[in-house]
Amino acid sequence: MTTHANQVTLFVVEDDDVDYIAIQRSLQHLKIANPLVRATDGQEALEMLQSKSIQHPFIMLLDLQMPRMTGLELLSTIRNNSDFKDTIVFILTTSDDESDIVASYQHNVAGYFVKDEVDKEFFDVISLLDGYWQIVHLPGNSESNQ
Amino acid sequence: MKKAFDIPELEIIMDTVLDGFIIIDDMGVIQSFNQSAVKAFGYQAEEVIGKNVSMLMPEPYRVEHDQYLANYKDTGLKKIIGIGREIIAQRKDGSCYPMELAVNEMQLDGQRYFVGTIRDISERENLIKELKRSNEDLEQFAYVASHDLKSPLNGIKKLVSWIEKDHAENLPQEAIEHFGMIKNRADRMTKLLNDLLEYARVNTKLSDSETVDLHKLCHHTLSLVKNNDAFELSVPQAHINLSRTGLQIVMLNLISNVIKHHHQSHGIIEVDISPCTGGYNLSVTDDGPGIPEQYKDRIFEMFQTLKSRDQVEGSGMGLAMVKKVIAFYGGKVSLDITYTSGCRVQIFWPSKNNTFSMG
Repeated sequence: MTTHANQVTLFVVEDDDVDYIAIQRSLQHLKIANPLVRATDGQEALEMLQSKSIQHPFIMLLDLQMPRMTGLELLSTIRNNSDFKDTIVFILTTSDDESDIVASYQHNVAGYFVKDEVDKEFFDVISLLDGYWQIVHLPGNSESNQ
Repeated sequence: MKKAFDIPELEIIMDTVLDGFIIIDDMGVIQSFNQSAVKAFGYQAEEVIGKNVSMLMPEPYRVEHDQYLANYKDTGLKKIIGIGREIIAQRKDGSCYPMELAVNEMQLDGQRYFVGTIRDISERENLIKELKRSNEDLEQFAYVASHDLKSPLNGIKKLVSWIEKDHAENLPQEAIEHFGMIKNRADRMTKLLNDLLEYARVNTKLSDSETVDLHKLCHHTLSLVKNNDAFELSVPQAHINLSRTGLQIVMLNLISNVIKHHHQSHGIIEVDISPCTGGYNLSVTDDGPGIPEQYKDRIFEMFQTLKSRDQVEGSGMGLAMVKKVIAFYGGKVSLDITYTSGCRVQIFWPSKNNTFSMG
């Protein structure tokens, strides 16, 4: 069985350039060459999903506080949309507020990371995602796995 | 209709009273209705005398009131008599407003009557609502501000660490030192923001009273504080009835303050508690450098420190947090200025059920 782990796209929805660079640096440092795509807020992410410009399979790494459409707004939009509701979403945010954590898991996120708690360059998050797509079967690549 | 209180002098006196005055018999029928009650309800006295008092209240109080009277007659169970409480009243025009009602019982010619004194408290209620809203706004503001301030700060920290990592060999020694200071300032600001955030939302974390093992709680708290090894903690083996989370926050801040500000690397911390009228007297005493009397109020304000933050790292939020938690429970905290061999913080902590058992 092949898993095609290196074909999984990391779709980052993040408004802060420094945090995005931090993700890029973490990928470089960990020598992960998976495709990386970025949207700078929820609205742009939604438009990219609707125009099918994200290569499947993909994992979304989503910030919460963003202009125009917040992470939670994007989450509830995609969970109510039959085309996108199986999207695998991890939250990466500065908010450690209980209500944000609860709301995120109620929208079926796969994990919730607080930026303060993780390494300055998100090594922990990125290596966890790398491990995740190495062994997890994702929607969208099931045919290629058979 | 029988007039039970046909005494003109009494009527005149009752009409000069500012509070509304309503007398009913034990069936709930209104016998007397003074001028202030007329103003409060918009009914003339003759419109209500002889009718059931439940006409002055909206549902579901109407039904409940008849039930109260019936219960009281059967069982003597007092829901309101001699106690007083806040209820909703209904004016003649149908509008409702909050009012404070005190009821007392009287006997006249072998007949039982109830005397109700009423006061319109809608203004007070509105002020309370307004205050609550403004407090919520403030908490929300502190929360949003500290969240939004954290992101750029994290960005600064990352950028500095990348410059150091990528270009350390090309940087002069002075620049590396300055970068170190930038990082230190950024960390300090993170701590300030975290403490501000914690301060803003502490009320949401405070629990109700429960039985607490004070000895265990304090020793556990000490174990969470940095550099605690050489500090000796003495706490009575007492079980008390207080908010566990509240006590934890207060003790954590007081104990960590002792250790952080101690002039020696070792010291003694004494916690003492005794029950008193309406709650407990709690004190935390140390053998540290003490706090001069002139700072006794300032130390409980937000962001106050008595030393430069370059000498002792601290947000200056610890005692402000202690004060806020204790104020939440209606208590008091102060510095004992008569104690001079260190610092003693004394606390009155209200508890309705101030049980106290040793062992």
